[in-house]
Amino acid sequence: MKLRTFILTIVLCATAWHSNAQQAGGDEQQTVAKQLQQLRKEVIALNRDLFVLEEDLLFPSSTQVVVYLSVDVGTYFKLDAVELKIDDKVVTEYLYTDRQVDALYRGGVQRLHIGNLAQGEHQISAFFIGLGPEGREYKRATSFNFNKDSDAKALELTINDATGSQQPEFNVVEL
Amino acid sequence: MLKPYLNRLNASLSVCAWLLYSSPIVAAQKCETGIADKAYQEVLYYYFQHDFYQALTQFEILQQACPDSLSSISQPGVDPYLLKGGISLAYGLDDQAADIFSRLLTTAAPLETQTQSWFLLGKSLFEKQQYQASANILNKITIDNADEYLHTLDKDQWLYMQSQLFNWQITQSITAARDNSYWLDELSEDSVYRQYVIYNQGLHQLQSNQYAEGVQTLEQVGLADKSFLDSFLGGWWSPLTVVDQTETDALRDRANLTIGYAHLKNQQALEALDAFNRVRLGSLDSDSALLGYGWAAAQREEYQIALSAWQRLQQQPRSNEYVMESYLASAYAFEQAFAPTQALENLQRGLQRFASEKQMLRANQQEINDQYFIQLANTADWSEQIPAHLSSIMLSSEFRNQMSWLEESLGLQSRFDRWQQQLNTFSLMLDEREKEAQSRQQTLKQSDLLSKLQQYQGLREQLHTRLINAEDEPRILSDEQELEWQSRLERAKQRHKEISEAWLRLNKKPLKPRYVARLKRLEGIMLWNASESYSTRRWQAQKMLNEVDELIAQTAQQQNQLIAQLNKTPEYPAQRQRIAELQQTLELQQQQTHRIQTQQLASLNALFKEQIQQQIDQLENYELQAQLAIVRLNDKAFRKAEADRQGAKQ
Repeated sequence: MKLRTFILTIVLCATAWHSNAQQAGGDEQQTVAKQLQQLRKEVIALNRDLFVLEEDLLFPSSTQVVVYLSVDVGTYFKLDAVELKIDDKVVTEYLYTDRQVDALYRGGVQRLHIGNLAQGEHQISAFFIGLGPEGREYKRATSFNFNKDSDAKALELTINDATGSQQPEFNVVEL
Repeated sequence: MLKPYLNRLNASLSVCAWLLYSSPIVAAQKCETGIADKAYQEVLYYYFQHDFYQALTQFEILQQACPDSLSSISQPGVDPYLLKGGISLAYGLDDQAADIFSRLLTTAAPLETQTQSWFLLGKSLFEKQQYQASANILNKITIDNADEYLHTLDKDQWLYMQSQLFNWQITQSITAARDNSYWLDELSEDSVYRQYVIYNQGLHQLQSNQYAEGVQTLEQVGLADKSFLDSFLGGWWSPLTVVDQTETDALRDRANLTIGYAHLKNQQALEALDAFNRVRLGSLDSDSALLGYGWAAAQREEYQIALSAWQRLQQQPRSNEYVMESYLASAYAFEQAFAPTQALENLQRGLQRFASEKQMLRANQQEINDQYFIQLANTADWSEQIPAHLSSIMLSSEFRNQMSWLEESLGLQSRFDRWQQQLNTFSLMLDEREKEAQSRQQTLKQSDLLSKLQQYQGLREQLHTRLINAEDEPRILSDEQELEWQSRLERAKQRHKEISEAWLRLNKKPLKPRYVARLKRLEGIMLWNASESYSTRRWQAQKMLNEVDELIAQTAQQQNQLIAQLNKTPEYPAQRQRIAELQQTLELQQQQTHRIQTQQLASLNALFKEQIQQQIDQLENYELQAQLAIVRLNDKAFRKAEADRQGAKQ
């Protein structure tokens, strides 16, 4: 009788220990997952601060010029690449992946270029390469003169569908 | 004349101003709707590419610059807060996502936003296995609202979770059973969740001892044929179709495996053989199916077929319970087929394999350390590089989960290292800029650049006076040729005067008056010409003067800016402070990552060793079974020999 009670106690203790050990293991994993989650959050905040600091240091607003690119609809033009020149100097050459093009078609806007420019008159030229209506190779350019003052300058390259002419339209607008 | 100098001065001042104070200037943040919209569209650009990390960073930048901007976004589509919640969820910030959704649900958000928030919040809880809370949340969505406000894929997922939660609630006796046909009617025709719902229902029925119903349900998945196009074209036309097909095929294999074992358990060997036969060779369930196939054949006393299945299993380099059990199973089949010698041989081979597996596992237990896991996590597609005998351990979901955490923390560590270098570069850049600014300041002082504008202004005033005087004396505006002619005329007049005087001194007759008359005529012509072109020249001169005025004004403005900048307190200390703060945060996070990594590695080691030990224990169990079988076979042979001998004696 005593032996049976002893064995039963041992079995119960072992079961309880096993269940506690499992619980502890689960808690530990939960803690690591929570800690990682917290770390991810902090990394995002740190990345934000670094991004802002980098921009402040390298592109102060007095000289900053930003060029965005957006696509509206995109039925008549499939974007492959863009070459951007400011004052006849190539500042960006960009090749697009399908995923990036899709993101643009769905309403995303790409920050194509950020740089510094002295105050005064400047010219921006953009060359768009891709497939035009009926899948033909298509290369078009557009240019725009603008004045850079002491505030940050933002420009946007837009690709729109001109339904009347069934052709894509390329423009530069000041934001 | 003044213009080139002014242009040069203007350029010098611009360069000086930029170089002196191109140090970080915290721009006054513009939070107009247009700018906020653009920033939001940048978020979308990353979001649509599934780059959730960048998307969240852009969200944070936007919200830091303009805290209330998300409410005023004029872009059509999903609510920006909802989007942020969704992205947070996708990036693994579950708590942040839950906070956002809860906040959205306490505000008077439109029904569409509410429905989507309930869905995402419920999904988050479902993934965290908080089923009761998840069921409560997901139940708040009505089928009409799901139809109206959720995308098809999301609606299907909602229905799937609902069906699972219903099954879970039935097992917890929280709710009454509901016919699965409800979910199947609502799910879209081509949804992959349809198969899961059916499979889970079948499994649930089998677990509730409803053998016939369970098999019938599972056969809806297991017997589902590929479409003609799928079989014929193999899905080559669309990678997406291939992915979907892979999932469907894997689920079909699992359903057939489950059907096979259900039949086997219920002594329906022929049906079991049929079901196991439908599992593809080379699939995740092929080993298990081969073992089951053998047992089904053995149940029908078709030992040759059973042995061929098990022999095939034995040839696998993988080390899992199905392969190991095949040695014991083969011995059983040989024994049943009255081939005890082969049974013994097979058991001996099994013992050798168990021993060699154990040896390798023990060696791994000793050798594998933190460095091995770090190296593995840093290897792309590490799961393809692991030794065959460790596959069942390392491909377990728990192990993979922990490895993915380790991969993430290692990725974070290398990112922190990069950032540390970047901050050091920024610090050096500030040093260089400060030095450069000081040297420019010095040069400015030495070259007295700022007083030059006053000199040029003086010169401009002189020009202006001359222009006024030109009204009385048009020849002031003469061009170079005319000025030369004028000087020649003056020289001729002087010479005439000198000659006339010399002539008189020599008591000669005075010069003829025609010389004077010629000189006067020439002077008259020149005066006439000057008067004729006066108005044009005056207009040109005035225009040039106006341009000079404009340049002087611009230069003065530049100079004022430069002076203002010179008088401004330098911002370098503030920037250095920002860098130092970031460096400090970075250091803290590096320490935190290191702590987490240590924990992860300890946990991985413990898991690995525990699982290896389990596998060794299992192998020892097989060894014991094999040894017992050998003893039993030997005993049987001995008894048979004894009986034969007794028979021979009699």
